[in-house]
Amino acid sequence: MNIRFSFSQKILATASAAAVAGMLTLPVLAATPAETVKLRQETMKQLGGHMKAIKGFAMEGQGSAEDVAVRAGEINKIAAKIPTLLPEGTGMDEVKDPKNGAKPEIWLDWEKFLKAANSLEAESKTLAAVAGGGDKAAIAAAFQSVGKNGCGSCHKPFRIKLEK
Amino acid sequence: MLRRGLLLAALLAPLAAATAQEAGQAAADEAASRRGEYVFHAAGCYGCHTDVKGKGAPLAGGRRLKTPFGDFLGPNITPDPDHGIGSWTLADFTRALREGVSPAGDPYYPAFPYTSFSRMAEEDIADLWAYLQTVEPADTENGAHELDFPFGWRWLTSIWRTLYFAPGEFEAGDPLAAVAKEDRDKWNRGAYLVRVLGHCGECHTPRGGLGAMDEGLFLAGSKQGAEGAPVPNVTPDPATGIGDWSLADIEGYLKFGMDPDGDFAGGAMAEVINHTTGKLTPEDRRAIAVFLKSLPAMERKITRPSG
Repeated sequence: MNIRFSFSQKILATASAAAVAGMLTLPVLAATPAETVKLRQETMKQLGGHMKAIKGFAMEGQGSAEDVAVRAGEINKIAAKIPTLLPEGTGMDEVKDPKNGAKPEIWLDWEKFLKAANSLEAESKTLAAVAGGGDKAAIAAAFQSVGKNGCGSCHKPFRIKLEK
Repeated sequence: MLRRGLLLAALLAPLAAATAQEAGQAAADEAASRRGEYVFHAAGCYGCHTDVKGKGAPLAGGRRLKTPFGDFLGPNITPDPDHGIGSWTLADFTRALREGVSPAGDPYYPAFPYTSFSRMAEEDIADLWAYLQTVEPADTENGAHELDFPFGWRWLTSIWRTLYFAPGEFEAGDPLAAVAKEDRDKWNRGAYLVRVLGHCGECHTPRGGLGAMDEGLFLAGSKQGAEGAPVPNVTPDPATGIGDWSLADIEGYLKFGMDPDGDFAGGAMAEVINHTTGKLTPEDRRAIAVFLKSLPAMERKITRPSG
């Protein structure tokens, strides 16, 4: 059966879809700079938790390759979100927070910053694929590459660590 | 026929010996330069002597080091005779590292960490020298330091040296009782890597008003290190230092930059991991970890300088 929407139904559907989309992005878009920094810190903490767990497998043989694949997929999703977590006005000089070490260079060289975020996206995708294969040495190598070329490529130029 | 062959052999023998000797010398030089390359990594020379941001040639100088006294510019240490150290002798080089004095006799600013390098082993200096001979010469001119008043007066450095510079030999110490028995042989190597070659204290130890390291707070962190950024306390205090890190945590961090929370190093330490600690042998990283864990724990919270 061919379902046909009336014009008003279509308007309604479009409007509610837009509302849902709006609600989804709301936490980032409507957040104050301080809230964004907080969300960013929580997200990075999650990311760190995944990396820590993957290290447990890659370096110490804990957990499973399947778990690594799932976590690498989560990192991949977070990586895609990173640029939205660093809007202008949330740098270390604007939002004074003992743990906000986002350097002003991010917004002076946004292209380079995006490249670093993209690199994490690509590296984590590779890790997820490699983890699917189950080869432990390859997983360890891919994991270290996520750290160095993903996390590190951004933290090195754009982040200073203010506290332990 | 046989006699002619013997004659020929007799004639050629000294030549062959000379060639063998040359080959032996070349092999020795190569071995020295290979060992020197490792010393070069362990001593972290690349960072301050290469202008990566300005796409300068390796070791050709020009890297800006921001300090509370002004900006220092790392000099060219390639073998270029005019702008680098191509006209130096090994004796000049040794004096620069151990005494902090240029071949012309001028004292260096302690931004060049001769306060640490002074205790470098003789053979490490010779190997490093051999390695630096193999670097591509670059004719990059040295820029002048841009220092705040009155630090531009280099003669002040002489007074500073009288007050704070104690040259000397590295002395192997007694490993503290806290060090596990199987790790005691590593402790001295770790002390040498941390205190001398790696010159870790230059950033991780706080400095007094005149820029001298406060040895009583060795590695307890600095609110304003090089580049103006705070530098963490790496003594084994569990709350404010790295007391809650295991030896393996420290080794892993030094290898590829990940701390026990899954966070990755940034800023100056990422450079150190890329160019120095990441290039060391696992044994040397272990030695550093053993030494760090043996230090007196100092409770000292490091926060950013501007609050």
